[in-house]
Amino acid sequence: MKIVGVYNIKGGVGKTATAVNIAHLAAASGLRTLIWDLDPQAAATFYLRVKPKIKRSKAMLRDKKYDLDGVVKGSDFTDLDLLPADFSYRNMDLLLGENKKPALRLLKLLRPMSEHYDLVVLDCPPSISLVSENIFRAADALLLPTIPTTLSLRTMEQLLDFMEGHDLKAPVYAFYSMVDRRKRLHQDVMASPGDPRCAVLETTIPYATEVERMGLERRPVTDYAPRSTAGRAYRQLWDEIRDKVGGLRPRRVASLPF
Amino acid sequence: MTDLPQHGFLLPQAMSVDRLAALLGGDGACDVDDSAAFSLRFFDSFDWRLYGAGLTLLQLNVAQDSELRLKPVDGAEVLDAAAFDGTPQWPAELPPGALHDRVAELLDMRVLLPIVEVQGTATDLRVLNDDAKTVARLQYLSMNSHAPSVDEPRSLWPRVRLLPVKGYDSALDELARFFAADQEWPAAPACLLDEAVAAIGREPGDYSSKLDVSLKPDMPALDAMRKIFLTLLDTLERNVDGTRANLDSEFLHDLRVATRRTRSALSQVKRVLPDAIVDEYKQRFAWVGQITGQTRDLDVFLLELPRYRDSLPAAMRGDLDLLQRRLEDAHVDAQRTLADALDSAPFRALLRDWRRVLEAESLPGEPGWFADLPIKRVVSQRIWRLYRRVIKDGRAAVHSGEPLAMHELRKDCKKLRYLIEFFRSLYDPRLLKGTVKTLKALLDNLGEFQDKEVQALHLRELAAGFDLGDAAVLPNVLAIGALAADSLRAQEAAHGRFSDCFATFDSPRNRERYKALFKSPGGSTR
Ligand SMILES: Nc1ncnc2c1ncn2[C@@H]1O[C@H](COP(=O)(O)OP(=O)(O)OP(=O)(O)O)[C@@H](O)[C@H]1O
Ligand SMILES: [Mg+2]
Repeated sequence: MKIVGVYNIKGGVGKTATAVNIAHLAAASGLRTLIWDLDPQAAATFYLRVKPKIKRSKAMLRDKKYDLDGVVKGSDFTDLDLLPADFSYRNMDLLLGENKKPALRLLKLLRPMSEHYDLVVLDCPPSISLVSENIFRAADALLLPTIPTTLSLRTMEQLLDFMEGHDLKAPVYAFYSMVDRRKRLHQDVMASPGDPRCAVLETTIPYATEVERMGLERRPVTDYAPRSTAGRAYRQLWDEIRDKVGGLRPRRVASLPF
Repeated sequence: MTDLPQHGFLLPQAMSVDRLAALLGGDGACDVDDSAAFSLRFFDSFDWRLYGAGLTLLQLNVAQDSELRLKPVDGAEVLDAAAFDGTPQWPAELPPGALHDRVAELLDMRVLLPIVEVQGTATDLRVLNDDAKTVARLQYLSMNSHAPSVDEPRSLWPRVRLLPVKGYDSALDELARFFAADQEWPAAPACLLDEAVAAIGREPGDYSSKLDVSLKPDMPALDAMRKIFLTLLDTLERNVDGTRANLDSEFLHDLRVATRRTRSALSQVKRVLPDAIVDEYKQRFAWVGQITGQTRDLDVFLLELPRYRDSLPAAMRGDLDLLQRRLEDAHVDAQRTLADALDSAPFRALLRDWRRVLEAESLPGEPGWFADLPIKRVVSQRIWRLYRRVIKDGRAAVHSGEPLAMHELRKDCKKLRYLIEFFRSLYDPRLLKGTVKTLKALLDNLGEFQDKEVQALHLRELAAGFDLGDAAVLPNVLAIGALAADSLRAQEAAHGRFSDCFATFDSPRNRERYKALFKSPGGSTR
């Protein structure tokens, strides 16, 4: 089981859109996929038509033998399940802090899931916190959607500094998100050499109204508009990530009972 | 939660995907998604060794993926699986692991053959709630059975599997109840093999090299013999194609055993068939023994070779390479000659004529004296006589220790064994068990004694076939010499065990068994 975290300190950069679409593509390719909506705002949960929970996180973060699988909800898609967001995730930092090894709590919770899933995608809330440190420690790879502005590059550096400072080893893959090719600034930033500590993927996700429509459709773009520019971009992104992360081989035969 | 049948429910033949979707409320309540084609092939040896051990080996293909799975015949769980492209044939070529080990152990020298192929389509359906959220998944399976022996695919029962969507247990329960209680759809069996094989008009285990003829004690002897001969002829014929194509060495082996049994039945059960027929077919089947002999000898050698190799010190093992190549070359030639012989007019005529004789209303020529007597009387007397001869000659052989006496004894023991096998159904199986066991042990001992001697001789001949003037062949000849020494040592050991083996056979207890089974109270048939 591989764990991929979609993260950025900044809000509104396309994290949730990315998490939902790549999770959908992974599942459609035959990988048993779980998306964990860690953001109390519950956007990913909403996109997948599941009702968010209220107040589960206390038990989840304290109870040593908590069964994560018991709160999973199936989505509308084969092989795609969701751990719905919980309103009480607002206090997650405090609750995590009560644990003995607070930064490893999520990884510990996730480990038993490897029996059921090939891939876990974490949709993370913005900001740097104990939650994000948990994510950095749990993830086999971090995906960093980045709007090509100078300010975004600054926050990217902040993140990489933080990771370096905490001796966090997860590889970070940045990619440019919500790209508007008409904007001079976007072009300049994308042309500039990035931070050497972080790989920049080739795929860019354009700014596109199809992505915004996810809120109305309540489905992944890759489901309702797979051949649109954005749909194709997400597919390319998924292909790139799958190759980078490695070890993600779907077994189609597994779906048959013989 | 309700227990879900893991393999789904069997549907009425007319229940298509669309009808199923309509039954579940149609658009908005049940959506039909994608379909994917798949195929699965079941493999076993010609004589069903896996099935006999309660196992099935299948290869499942979906899109580019291909996987071998080993499963118990009656259970759902996969014992082991391995990705595998291409067609599995020799157990040794299977990927290492539990699957390989189990299959190799059971198959031994036999090759895997495809038994039946199932082609199918899996269609995904989703059951939705009032919020248009998926609350359960269905997998609809439609399948056909294919085999070269049937010209058209035969359809199997469609199935529907209920797959849970996590967090929506009650919807699943409701559907399971609907399928099982309201629709009364039965649970699909765990193993598809039986149904797939039945669909192509076969039955698992429909070939076995073990002779199993059921007879009645007072059947006229002629009828009983016809039945036995026909069974043997069927076995022989079923092995012809595999022998010709040399699929594996057991086809020829079984063909030869059926031939030998036929010859033995012809000469051992006297005065039932007309003498002229007995004489003619004894000769013609002896010819089958001849045309198949050389290939079989080489088969045995090549099968033994790995064991031979292991018996040598590591430093000498490579010295058998040249011998192996020669044997393989010789085998190619012998096999070609054999295939030609099996295609020849005399061979085909033999099978045809023999069948005609056995199926004829009445036989040409003078009927045998015993033709109308009850088979059990005829046979019991024959077995009893042969048994007494074995005892007499055996005691003499123990006394003298003469190899020749042991060889003769082996021949009679073989005849005795064949007779008991042919007529097994006429006797009390509990008594029979002990007689067969001790006889088999004695035969193994005598077989070892003779085979090892023949092997040593054979090895010497092979060594003589090398150009001894060529220094390069010296290591090969020496290695063969080491093997010959081993063979002779094994022969000596068998000789040493002979008197004990015979004593067990000649025990008072076993004598009582033979008496009770075969000594006819009603006196002689004459
Ligand atoms: N490529 C895009 N083109 C146009 N709009 C986009 C694109 N990606 C995301 N959006 C829109 O931008 C908004 C923010 O996107 P999203 O929720 O994916 O970002 P986020 O980083 O997860 O935000 P948050 O930090 O609040 O969780 C959403 O309304 C989404 O529909
Ligand atoms: Mg978000």
